Amino acid sequence: MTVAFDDGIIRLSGNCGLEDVETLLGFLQSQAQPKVDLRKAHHLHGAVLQLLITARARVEHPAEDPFVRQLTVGSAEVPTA
Amino acid sequence: MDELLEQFLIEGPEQVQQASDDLLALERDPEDMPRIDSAFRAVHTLKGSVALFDFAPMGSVLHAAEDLLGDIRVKRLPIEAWMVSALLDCMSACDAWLTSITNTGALPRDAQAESVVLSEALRASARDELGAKPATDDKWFATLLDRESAALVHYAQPFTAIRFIPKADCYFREDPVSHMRRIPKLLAVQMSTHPTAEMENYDPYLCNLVFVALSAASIEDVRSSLAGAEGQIAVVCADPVRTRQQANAQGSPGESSRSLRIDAQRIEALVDMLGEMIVAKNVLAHLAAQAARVDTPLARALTTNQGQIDRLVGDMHRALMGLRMVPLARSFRRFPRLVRELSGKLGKRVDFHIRGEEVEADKAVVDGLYEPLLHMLRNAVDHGIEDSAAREGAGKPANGSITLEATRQGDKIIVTVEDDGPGLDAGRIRRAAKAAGVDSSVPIDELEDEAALDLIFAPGLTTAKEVSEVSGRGVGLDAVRTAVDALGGHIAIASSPGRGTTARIVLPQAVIVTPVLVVTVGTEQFGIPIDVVVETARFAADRIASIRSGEAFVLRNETIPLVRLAALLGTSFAERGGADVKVLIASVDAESVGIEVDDFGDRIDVLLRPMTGILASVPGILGSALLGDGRVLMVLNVPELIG
Repeated sequence: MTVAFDDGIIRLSGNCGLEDVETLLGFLQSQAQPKVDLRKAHHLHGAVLQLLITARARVEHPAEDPFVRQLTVGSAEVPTA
Repeated sequence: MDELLEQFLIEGPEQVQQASDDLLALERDPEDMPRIDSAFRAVHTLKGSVALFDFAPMGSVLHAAEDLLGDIRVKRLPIEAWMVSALLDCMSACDAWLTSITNTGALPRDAQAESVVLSEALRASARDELGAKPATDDKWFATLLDRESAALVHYAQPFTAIRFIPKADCYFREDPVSHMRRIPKLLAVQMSTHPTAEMENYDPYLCNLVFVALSAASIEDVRSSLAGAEGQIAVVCADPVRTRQQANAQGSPGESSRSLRIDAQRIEALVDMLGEMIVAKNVLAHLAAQAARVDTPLARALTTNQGQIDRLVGDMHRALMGLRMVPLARSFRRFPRLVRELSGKLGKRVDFHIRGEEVEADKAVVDGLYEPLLHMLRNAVDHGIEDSAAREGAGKPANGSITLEATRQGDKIIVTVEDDGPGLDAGRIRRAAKAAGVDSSVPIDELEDEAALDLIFAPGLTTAKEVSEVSGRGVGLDAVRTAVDALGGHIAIASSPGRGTTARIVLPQAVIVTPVLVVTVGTEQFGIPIDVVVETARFAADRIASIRSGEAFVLRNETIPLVRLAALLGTSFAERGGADVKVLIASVDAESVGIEVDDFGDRIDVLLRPMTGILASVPGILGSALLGDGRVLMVLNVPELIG
């Protein structure tokens, strides 16, 4: 299980791929202010990251993987131009 | 010709040349931003000038080139190989069109069609680089640098900035995040969505991500790590040090010149005036000699004065000739583009090197060298360099090497064209020479290999197995020798089998131009150096008096001995008719001598070459000169003829 909902927090772990997107979308839509725990996430597929940004999920625990951490910290407010 | 157009035809080729130079430099170092600026300026200026005339096809090509260069310049995108090619093709076309305008006043008929193709190529390269999505955020690079400025403030190494806009349907094929992960030496990475999506009716499989990143890796490494994402990425190399220097640097990479452009014709006019001055000065020597018979102190003063003028005229002659000295770069700098084009056409890979382009020589030598050198370089690319497969088979680097080098040795310049190809085959040249019926003083089979190589300069000889578009028609190398000879030079060829061929051209640095007066005797023409001519006169034959075995005439109260040039040359001459006689008064050892000729011709400047071989011992001949129409003019040594 790479996407789990547990105690009000969506936990992503291991290698989250395109197949996890539908599940994640369901969890995010069920929450008014979704929170995520990325500590155990080694890699997040682009579709997963895009979904997290669009849903304005709050990163409760940043990823230990430095690349994932860089992408998820502060990315949501990055201007495009 | 319209003055504006005239100016355009002077400056246009220079701008094309400048842009070509810059583009070739960019091909070697794509990050040389000052070169991009310089190429942009040249194209921009040229486009502006073209707009003044009715050369629309040229204008639209230059417009497309300017747009592309402008994009590269503003976005600080590295210039790519295909862009350089497209831009160089554009410059070649402009060069050809300028030549056509010079010769015919108009663009060639196919210019419109060519213009469309070239403009399309330039625009296509711009589209490729910016990707399928038009840039909605042109300032991404500046924004990224700004945002990361805190991290970069102490960073002195060049770095690469990347923007990646994956295609909307990419998720089904690949994960763009994995692409980003593969970028080596990542310094910073940011991600955003664009346009911003909403959770309502959200399609999780439609990608709208935009990535920007900085990497310490080279632009090539970054590109190769992103293989498969071409067309969706923009990559920029930034050098913090260079960026700072650029902010400080002002002006162009070209030298800020303090020089003054002078039309060559004006200098020629000065040289002509100097020729007249030499004649006037000679009269002065003659007057001083006359005065000596009447008034010694006056004669002494005149002689002193005449000596001074003599020196000054000599100095002036040297200074004037110095004005005509130009660097060989004037001819050389046109070659890199031509060699590149040619090797491309022939599918050869050639590294072309130029050395010594700063060496100076007389304008006539530099301009005159262009054609023969172009010919030698064509030959070197076409026959001198093997294809890559053959080269690798022979244990050579895949790229052939051609070096054009100039050096100065005393008052000579030496220009060599060297290739590292298979060399010349003396046996094949011998066979070809025999087949072509080439004359040789020694039987061809008895020639040493070295001498046999020289046969390639014989008229009509070709060893090429097939006639190619570029060379091999058997016209050429003899023309090269003729052209070099006409410049007062000499060309020789050396070759070592398997290792290459070297053509060596030795030329006078300064052309020793001798002004001569052309005179006619019978059906022949001869040159008399102006500096012995005091004046020319024409008078009735009855003013000639016979004095013992000779003849004389009186001119301004002076009795001057008269000789007939035909007699001096030992040719037959007819009795004088009723017409006026034409006499050239020469100064020989401060004595005047009248030399009767059949007619006077023009006063011309010739390149005097001393007589060689058996002719060197013929008295009365100073040397020979090759005339513009290929005839040889013998220049006479008057004192020797009379003495």
